[in-house]
Formats: sequence, structure tokens, C-alpha cells
Amino acid sequence: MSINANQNVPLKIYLVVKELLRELGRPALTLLALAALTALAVNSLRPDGGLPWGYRPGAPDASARVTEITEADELERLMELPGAILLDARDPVLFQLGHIPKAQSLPADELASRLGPFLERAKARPGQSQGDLAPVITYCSESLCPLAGRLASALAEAGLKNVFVYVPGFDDWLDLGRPVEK
Amino acid sequence: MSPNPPPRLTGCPHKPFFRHLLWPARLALGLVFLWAAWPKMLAPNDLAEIITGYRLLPLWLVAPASLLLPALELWSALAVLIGPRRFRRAGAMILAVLLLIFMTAAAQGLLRGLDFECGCFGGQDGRRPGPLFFLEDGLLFLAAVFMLFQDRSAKRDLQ
Repeated sequence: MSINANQNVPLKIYLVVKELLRELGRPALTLLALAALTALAVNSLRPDGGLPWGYRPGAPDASARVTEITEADELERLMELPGAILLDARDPVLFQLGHIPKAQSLPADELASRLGPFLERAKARPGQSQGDLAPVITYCSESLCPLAGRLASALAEAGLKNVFVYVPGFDDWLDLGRPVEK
Repeated sequence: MSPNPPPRLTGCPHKPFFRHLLWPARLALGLVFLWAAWPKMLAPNDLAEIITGYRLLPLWLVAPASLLLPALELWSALAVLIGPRRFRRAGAMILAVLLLIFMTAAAQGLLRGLDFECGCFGGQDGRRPGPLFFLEDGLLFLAAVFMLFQDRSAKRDLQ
């Protein structure tokens, strides 16, 4: 096929792409098929069970005993229990700009340095001696933010009981018109 | 005298200088993508978090994309490095398309003011796409397009 110099650029691009696909379509599809098979094989052979098809960022590890809550009223009920702790997993700057009342800042990104001191305080609080009833609730900015789930999984793995994630997060709390502390 | 054959759309006559650039282009593309694919393949959860951060794909597509992307990078890089010519060019074509997608995804994220990580080389390295990202991806894109149009057999061009 020849190209006339008068042909416009979009048409030229279309013709070039068409010829490339005719020439290279089959090997490209072969590479795509090999990649799909490799992806499936590698994922099914992973010792941790692989990435779930229904992936959701921040979903706590399946092995961690963490309960997800989605209602702001439920969060308030939990906060009324003695010794309840609410943790803001977001960046400290965002925490300072506004957070859910009574929340403490424990950024998930600083977990390595701050988990130890926090656990000591958490295990010494009043509710903890009454049958481990006092809940620890984490939240992040919104449901797609992975930090709250990551923090909750780490706390549960470190031995805390009654760990919850408030999934809708701070943005939802704001949308509901709930009070904000600064 | 026989009539001239129609010129190819996707081929250029081979000038020696350009042919010398084929190997560097192949090595750069192949090695960079091998290096990029491996950590992503080992940590699909991290990659899924990063892909979510771009806020482009619906959630149900995040897992398939996180699994397919590193495998596609790996096979295309292998094809570019050690494949026969048709597969080399097909690999370069796939990588060119992927690079266009990466640049578009990063540009839309920056324009929307999203707080997201590049994730270019897997893991959560905290790297945000900046001018260097566009320069690197732009150069790799040029290398892929160069391979696509230049890595042809001289014999076929003379037909």
C-alpha cells in the first residue's frame, strides 16, 4: 500500500497502526497469552494464597482477627466502652487539620517506631483488664485508603484483642456532618 | 524495467548509523523492564495498592491488572532481548503501549492533584512521578518506537 503525500496525518497514523497490527498482532497476542498464563500460575503458587480477585485496598489480612465496621453510629457506640482507643492512621499533618473526636494519631507509615510504646500504653489501659473488652478502632481518609487496614492488622498480630476498622473513614464522617476535633 | 515496489509504511531504509543504535535500544528497553517487572511480580499486593492510588481502574479490575502487568512486562522484555525478530518487535510494540499508558496515568494523577506513588519499579518506594519520570518513560518510548520501525530485516526491505 502506498501513501499519498497529500494524505492527512491521522489517516497516516491509522494506516501505520493497521499495518503494525497486521504484521505483529499474532506475536503480540502470543506474548499476552503467555503473560496471562504466567500471572495465573505465579498467583496460584504463592505461599500466602495470592492476590484475591475481589481485592480491596486496606482489607485486613485474612489471618488477622479484625472486624470491619461501616456505620458511624457503631463507631460511637464502641467509643463509649471504657478504655476504647480510636486511632487515626493518616499522615500527622492531616490529623492536625481535623480528626474524629478523641482520636489519637498513629500514622501507619511510622508503625515500626511507634508500635512498641503504643502497645505498652494500650495494654495498661483500664478496659483491658476487664476481659479484654476495650476496643481499638482505626480509620483512614476513605474506604480505598489502605492505611487503617494495615494498622489494624499489625495491632491484631501484636496481640491486641477487639481491633476494629472504621472502613468509610474520615471523609465519610465529615459528609455525615459529625463533629470534628482540631 | 520492473515497476518499483510500493514503499512500506512501517519500514525505513536501513542507514548504518541507525542500525548501530538498535542494540543499545534493545538492551535499555529489555533490561529496564526486566528490572521493573521482577519486584512487582513478587509483591502483587503492593502493586494493587499503587494501581488503586491512580484512581483510574474500577476496583474489580485492580487485581487482574496487578497480576497481568508485571507478567506482560517480563515476557515483552524477554522477547525484546532474546526473541526472534517478529517477537522482538511485538514486545517493543507492547512496551510502547504500556509506556503511553503509564505516562497518561501519571499525567492525569498529577492534573487531578492525587497523592499517589509511581510504583514504577514495584514496592512502595514513596517515589512520586515528576519530570524525571516523564523523561525516562519518554526516552524508553522513543527506544521502543525506534525498534518497532527499524528492527527489520534488510532483505525484506529490498523485496
